[in-house]
Amino acid sequence: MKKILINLLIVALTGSATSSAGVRVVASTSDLKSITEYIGGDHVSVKAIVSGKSNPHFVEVLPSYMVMVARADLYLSIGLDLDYWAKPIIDGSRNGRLVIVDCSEGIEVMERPTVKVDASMGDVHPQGNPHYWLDPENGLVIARNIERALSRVDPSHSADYRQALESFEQELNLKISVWRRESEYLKDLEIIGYHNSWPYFARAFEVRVVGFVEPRPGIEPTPSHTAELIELVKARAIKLIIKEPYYSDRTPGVIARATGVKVVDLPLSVGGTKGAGDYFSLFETILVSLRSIVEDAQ
Amino acid sequence: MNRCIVFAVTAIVVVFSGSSIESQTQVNPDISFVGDSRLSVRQNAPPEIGDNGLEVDFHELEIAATGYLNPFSRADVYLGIHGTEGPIEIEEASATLLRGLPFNLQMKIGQYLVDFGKLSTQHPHQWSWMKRPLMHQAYFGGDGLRDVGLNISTFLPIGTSAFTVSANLLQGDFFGGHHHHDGEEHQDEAEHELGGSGRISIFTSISDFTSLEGGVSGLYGQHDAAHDHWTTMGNLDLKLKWRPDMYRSLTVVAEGLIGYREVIADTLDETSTENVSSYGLFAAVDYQFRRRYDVGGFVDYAQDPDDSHDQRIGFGLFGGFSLAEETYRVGLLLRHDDGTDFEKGFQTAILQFLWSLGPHKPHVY
Repeated sequence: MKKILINLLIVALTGSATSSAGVRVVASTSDLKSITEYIGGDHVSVKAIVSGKSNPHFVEVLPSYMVMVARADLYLSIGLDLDYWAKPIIDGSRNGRLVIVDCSEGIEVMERPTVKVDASMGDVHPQGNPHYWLDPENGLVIARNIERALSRVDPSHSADYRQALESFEQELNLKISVWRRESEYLKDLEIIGYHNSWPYFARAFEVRVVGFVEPRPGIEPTPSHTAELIELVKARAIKLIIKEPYYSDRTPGVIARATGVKVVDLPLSVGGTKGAGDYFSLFETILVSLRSIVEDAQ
Repeated sequence: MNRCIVFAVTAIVVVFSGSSIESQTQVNPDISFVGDSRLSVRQNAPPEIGDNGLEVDFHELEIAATGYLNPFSRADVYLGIHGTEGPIEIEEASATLLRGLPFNLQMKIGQYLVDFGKLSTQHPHQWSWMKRPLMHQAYFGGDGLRDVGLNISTFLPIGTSAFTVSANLLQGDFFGGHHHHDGEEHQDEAEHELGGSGRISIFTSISDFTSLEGGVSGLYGQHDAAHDHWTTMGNLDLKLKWRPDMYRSLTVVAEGLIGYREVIADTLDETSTENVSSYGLFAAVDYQFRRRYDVGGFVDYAQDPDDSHDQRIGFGLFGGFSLAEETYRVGLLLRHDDGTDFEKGFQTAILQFLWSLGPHKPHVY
């Protein structure tokens, strides 16, 4: 009994007990979690700090996140300053054996500022736009980064991870070609976004995002900017405003009432809306939503 | 003696962190400024509180420089300037060993706000109610509980809850002035004996949107070196936060402390000692709505640690609007204060303009 208690105390203090769950991974977002679950299979247990329903830009550093990271072997970060909040979580976890991997490695980053960034520009990310997972081609880069990370942390199953990566690449490449073929209707479609989250998606599916509900990234809508958007929607006959589910309906609703433009909630991440249960269905959900709106508009 | 201990601990930190002057990188730390300007008006205020009528006040400029020293440790420096000509005060200047120690330990050395409760670790500009609780002012003075010391803490994950145990060895200069029976405030010039404090806290998520943190703290220190008088204190703290989305949140904080203080007995014999027990309470509710607005209220009560018959109570309402995140906030505080030292209660209204210049900081719970 005494021995059991001592062991329990050591486990609690060090957080280093190995479990049957295998490699314990904490990911900044649900998208990284989804891809890790595919690559890691039964060898991993994965948790995400931010659910698909929450804004990944603003995360309160809670001790419960530190508890998750304290028990983890691997932390997967989005990088590009999106998950700047991960550092105090990792520091607070006191996990000295944690391997931290930045999943943006190898990504061709869009909108990297070429001038000095300051707060007058709003919440501009100095290293470029961080919403890279919304181009499915980048899902391949992320998956390779995750496979390397898992093989580093758990070399005994590296063959399984490599095999799963190959399977993921095949499945995603197949889906990308289907999605591209079936989304021809999106080509050159002009839309308005709420936040500047969609440049990678727009590049992948040749959509044109011509304005944002936010006057500057991260800045709440203003009456004058909303009036300008109403004029823009009328002048260019824009049919659609897309917004992430965690943003308010208020200003898009004002624009919709003034112009008749449709407003649709699109998931930014896995779990953002019903149906977007994994990385593949994230894109399927977005594309199905867009198709129905565009067809209705015609 | 105290300086020897601080020197020895600093040496330990350097050895453990593996840092040396040569290993410093050329990367600048994060440097931020927080400015706090106020328009205030008082009514019925006694002279010791300040003038009645309208005042314009550059209340404080805080300068923060924070960053990593190496992969294992970080340093945090906060300087405060009160008014435009006030001296520069070191509010906090500490180095923390974040990882590498056994048993999930972290070690902080330097001058810092001591975790005796939850509120004592925070800077007043973080609060919509703008002022340190009366109980902290009564015991520790206007700057709160800060001292040079060594903090060691550990973190125990239990289920999904976080259990934190923290202990401080302190230089001992953390109490504010104290009163003798002459009614005058005395500030010890003599060096105090070392003091100590500890806190045990637990954080748990009640639901996806709601979290609860509670803590128990204790503190022991010498407040009157000339007479070798000591104070023993206990504190209970509670924080409940509900945050269903980025637009709304409700925060409830409540703290209560009790103190036992040795004082010169009210007799002709200057050497006889008696014990005075006193307590204080603070509670606040803050509701954030439409992301940038918040409203709330608070109650604030403290007894004088040297004479518990002297009491002071305050209560009030506050509200605020933030232009973007926390970079520019306009806050309004309406406060009523009363106490045994005052002939009648007085009212204060403060319009606060708070801005922050520098890197965005995540909101540590």
